[in-house]
Amino acid sequence: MHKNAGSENNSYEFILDCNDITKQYGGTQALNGVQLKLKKGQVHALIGENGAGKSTLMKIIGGLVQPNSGTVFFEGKHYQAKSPVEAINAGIAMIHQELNPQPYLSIAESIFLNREDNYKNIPILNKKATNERAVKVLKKFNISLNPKIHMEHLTLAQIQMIEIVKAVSTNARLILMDEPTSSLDSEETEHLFNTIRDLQSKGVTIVYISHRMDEIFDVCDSYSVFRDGSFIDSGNISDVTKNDLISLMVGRVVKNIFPKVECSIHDVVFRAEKLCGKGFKDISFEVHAGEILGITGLVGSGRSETMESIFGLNPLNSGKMYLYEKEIRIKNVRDAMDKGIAMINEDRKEYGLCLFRSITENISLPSLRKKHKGILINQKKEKEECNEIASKLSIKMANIKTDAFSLSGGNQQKVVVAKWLMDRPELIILDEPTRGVDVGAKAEIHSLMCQFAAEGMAIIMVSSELPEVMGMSDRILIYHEGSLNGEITRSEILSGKENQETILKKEFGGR
Amino acid sequence: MKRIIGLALLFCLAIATIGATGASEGTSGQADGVRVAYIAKNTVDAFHATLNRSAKDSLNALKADGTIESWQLYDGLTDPITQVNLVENAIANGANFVILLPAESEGSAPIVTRCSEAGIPIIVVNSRTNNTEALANAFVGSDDVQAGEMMADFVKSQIPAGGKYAHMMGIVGNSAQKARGIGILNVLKDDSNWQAIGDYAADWSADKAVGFASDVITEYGADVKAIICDNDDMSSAVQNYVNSIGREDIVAIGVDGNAGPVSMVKAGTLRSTVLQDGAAQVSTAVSLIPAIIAGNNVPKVTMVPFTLVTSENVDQYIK
Amino acid sequence: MKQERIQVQKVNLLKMDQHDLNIFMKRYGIGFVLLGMFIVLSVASPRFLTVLNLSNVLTTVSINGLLAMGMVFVITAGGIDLSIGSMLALGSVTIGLIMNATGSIFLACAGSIIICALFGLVNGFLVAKFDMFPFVVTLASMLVIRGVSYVMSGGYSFALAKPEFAQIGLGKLFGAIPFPALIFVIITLMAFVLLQLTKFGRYVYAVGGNIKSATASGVNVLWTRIGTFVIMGICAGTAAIIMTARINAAQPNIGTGYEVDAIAACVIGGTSFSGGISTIPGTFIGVMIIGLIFNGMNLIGISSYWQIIMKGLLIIAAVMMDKFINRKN
Repeated sequence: MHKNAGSENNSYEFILDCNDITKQYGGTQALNGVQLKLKKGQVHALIGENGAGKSTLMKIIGGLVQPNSGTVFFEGKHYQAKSPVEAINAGIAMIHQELNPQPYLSIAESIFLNREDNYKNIPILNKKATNERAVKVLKKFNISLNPKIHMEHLTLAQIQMIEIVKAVSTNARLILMDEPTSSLDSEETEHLFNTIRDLQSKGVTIVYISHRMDEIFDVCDSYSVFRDGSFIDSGNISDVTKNDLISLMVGRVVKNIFPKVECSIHDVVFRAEKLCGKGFKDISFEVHAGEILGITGLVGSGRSETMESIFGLNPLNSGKMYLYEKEIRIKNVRDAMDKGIAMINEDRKEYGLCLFRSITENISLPSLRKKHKGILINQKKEKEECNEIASKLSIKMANIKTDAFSLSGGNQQKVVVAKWLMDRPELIILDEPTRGVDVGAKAEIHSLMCQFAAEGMAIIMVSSELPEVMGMSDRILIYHEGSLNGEITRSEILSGKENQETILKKEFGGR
Repeated sequence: MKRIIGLALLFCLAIATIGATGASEGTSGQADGVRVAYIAKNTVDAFHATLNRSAKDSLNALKADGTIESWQLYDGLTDPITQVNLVENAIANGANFVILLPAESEGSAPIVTRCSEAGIPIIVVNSRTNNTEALANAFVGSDDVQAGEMMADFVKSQIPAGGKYAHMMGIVGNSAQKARGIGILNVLKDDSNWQAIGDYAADWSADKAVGFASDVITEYGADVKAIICDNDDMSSAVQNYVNSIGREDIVAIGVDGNAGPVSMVKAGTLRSTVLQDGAAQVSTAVSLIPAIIAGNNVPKVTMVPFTLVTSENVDQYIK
Repeated sequence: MKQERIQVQKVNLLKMDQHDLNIFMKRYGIGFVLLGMFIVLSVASPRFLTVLNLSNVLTTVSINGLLAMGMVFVITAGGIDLSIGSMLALGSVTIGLIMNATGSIFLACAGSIIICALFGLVNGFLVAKFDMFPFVVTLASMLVIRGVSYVMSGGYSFALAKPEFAQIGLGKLFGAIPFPALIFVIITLMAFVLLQLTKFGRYVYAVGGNIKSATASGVNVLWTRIGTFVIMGICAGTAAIIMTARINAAQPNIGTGYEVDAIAACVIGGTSFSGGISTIPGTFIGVMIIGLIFNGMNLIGISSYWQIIMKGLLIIAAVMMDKFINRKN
């Protein structure tokens, strides 16, 4: 970084200066003359709903796509990257939302991929030298991992750290981070923020994309807001409030982010007794009809694992489950479905959708078995039912026969929800139902949840986002290292007896 | 846009396919002349390339003198079912005379049946189908038993003291393979000087034959005196191999008289090869056409003899 | 706005809106290639558009067609089956042995289908139960099945006891429609219903499209995958019947390389190798295109070397089309 500081001349006001960037994909205008201006050493939040054009602009700067028109200046010089390699060479690195590590390369090999050390003049890899270099750069970030460990053994957070280390080791002066915290828990997020502040102090500029307002206010200095492919506003974070930003993004004033509707709670629908499995032990709880049970905890604390076992995706080692006080056994997903349990998995692309099949096929897949007698599918009935539920959930789509791939994140998530509503379940488990979903769609999904509760379903919602859990739940269970560590009721939250801080404490094992 | 490009590309490709085809000499009109369908066994191995070339020369000659109106080569891809399909194609295409080089003795038989039922004259060349005697107008080939016997006799003459020999077979079940094996046994079975090590399924393939040969030599060492192969692609490769390990004493011999083995005989690295005069088989078959058209009787079976190619006579067979 | 409406109206003549048309184009765009070939061939050869020639084409493609109809299930579910060439040989030998032992054509045909389906079951079980790579599993079973057919036949081909069996390969319904073509068309229709109209078919698409999502949606992934291989076996067994009848002999060494054409037909017909995308009409078109290359070349008299080149180029073009049209990046 010293080299950088030394060569710095103040001939430019902005380290990155994008003007009038336009990009069309086929007939859709992804970017419509947007601007983005960054000052050196700032952490700049780029915010907007999904489809606002943030990712497209990042891809243009990162060299993944080419703009139709517009100019970019980087460090005062005209900049146009035709490939990611050119961007890296120019000093711009990108940390993607979905990390794609090379599982069988070591940490050192990953960091120095394409920049390996050779023995003097012989084209044979000098692993020792590479490892030593890796130790040096890792030390800068206080990472004590052995550089010989393969990437496959690292957690998502660690992989992300390695990506950042890699970016800095390429002498990147601008790092683009696309939703870096979407798969991190609170502790890892905090660690990432420390790293970001550290980078900032070394003069690195960062573009930070996130849907989480709290994080933006925690770590960013300035912001730009995009809406529908256009630039809306920019300024300093210290001059605005969360609600200001949200109204800028949505283009209207959003009054209540969590439209929780109180509804009467009835009998116990589902009860778990001393469930044990891989990653969790002795989990007992119950959930009532009309109730939203929030479950939170750090990533890896066993929340999702418990839910996957209840749904039959993973085996249960011991414990009993009751539905309407009758004991049930669940060996696989179909058992769970037959009992009236539905689960919306946290990983939409992996477990939720067949991206290249039509919306109809995606929606009707789980219910085909029950809804269509015989071996043939009643195409007309299928189409009608899917259309009905799609309009009920107001899924925005060109046609029910289009690929799920063509939908935005929020609408994809609604398709996943629709899948499980076709066959009205008794208990619906939602694991991170609003991850990667923009503010508007988020609110819609939340109000749908309230609607289900009002219809008498029992709802379990797993989420890492504390405001969401606190805003939506009638009761909250808190996981810590595979066990339950506390239960909080809505009245305790409303009365202010419990708050974000006390919940976090419990997540970390406190009382 | 990309869709249009993609489609345009494919369309051009399709047109190019057929355009390329259309540019060739093609078939001539529907007149009453004789249109010969020459159904080759394949167009890729050296032996059949020789046959097909001979067919081209002799059939073009017949076409030039007006005996036949046109002819066309159909590639059987060494697959009986392809040949069966091709004969239907040929008939639909107006062929009224068929020359068949069968891919299989059983599998290609329906072609002969089909032609005989349709009243289309058919000459079977090189190897028989199992209904050739009954239904074909003529068969022209060589007696593969004779080839086997010639190989065995040559081995005996080279190594009078005898020893152990191995037999590298072609694809098991092929009529030439069977007959050549019988010929070898006819000569060597009751000869007390010679012991068989075994028959190896080398599938006409040189590399497989070399693999088996190296196994045999490892196992039996100096006792191995001869390696008799069903074709000379195999025998020449085996001879090259044994020469390379200093076992020039081993005699490898095979049938066909392909260009490679013949040039090895010329160079002195291969003692002999048995020439199957495929070119003569085809030209003999073609020479029967005028008589068959005229309705005259032709010999049911014509045998073209094999020739032993050695250093003495190699010059007349080298191309 | 106005322009858009005109466009919609124009398209409405085909009873499709713009969106349906897009889907239609991306699924069946390859059909225009077939159409083009048809037109050019009709012009190039007066004998092309004759009933005799066209029924010959259908007969010629019937074996590859049957194999492709099975293969499309396997590939759609994310697999591949290389063992079908060997299955043809095994089916052929089975037919011969049963027919010569019992004298029953029906038992012989049933035997071929059953034994191929059984090996399909084994393939599918190994692939689905132990999550082994289908390429490797079927590469191995290709060898095993070929070996079994050599063992069963002693390595030799042999004649069939019932000469009337050959009628399946050579005979014609009402003297016009060859039986192999008829069987091919019937199996194609059955495959269409099974893949595109039934729950099983939907599960095949789901498993191929995203196996995890299929599991999480309660689809019986194990049996769906096994099912595709069994269907492949049944198709191969049926193809073996036609093949054996066409050559009128039981033969242990036939069928080598037949998997290549079957896979090629699927790919040309728009089947995605990553699974989850395919149609039966597309596959049918793929089969016909390969058949027409062969037929057209022979009709006009071009060496088979060109045919091989064309087939290769077409596969590349089809895969490119898959990239450009099916997936807009």
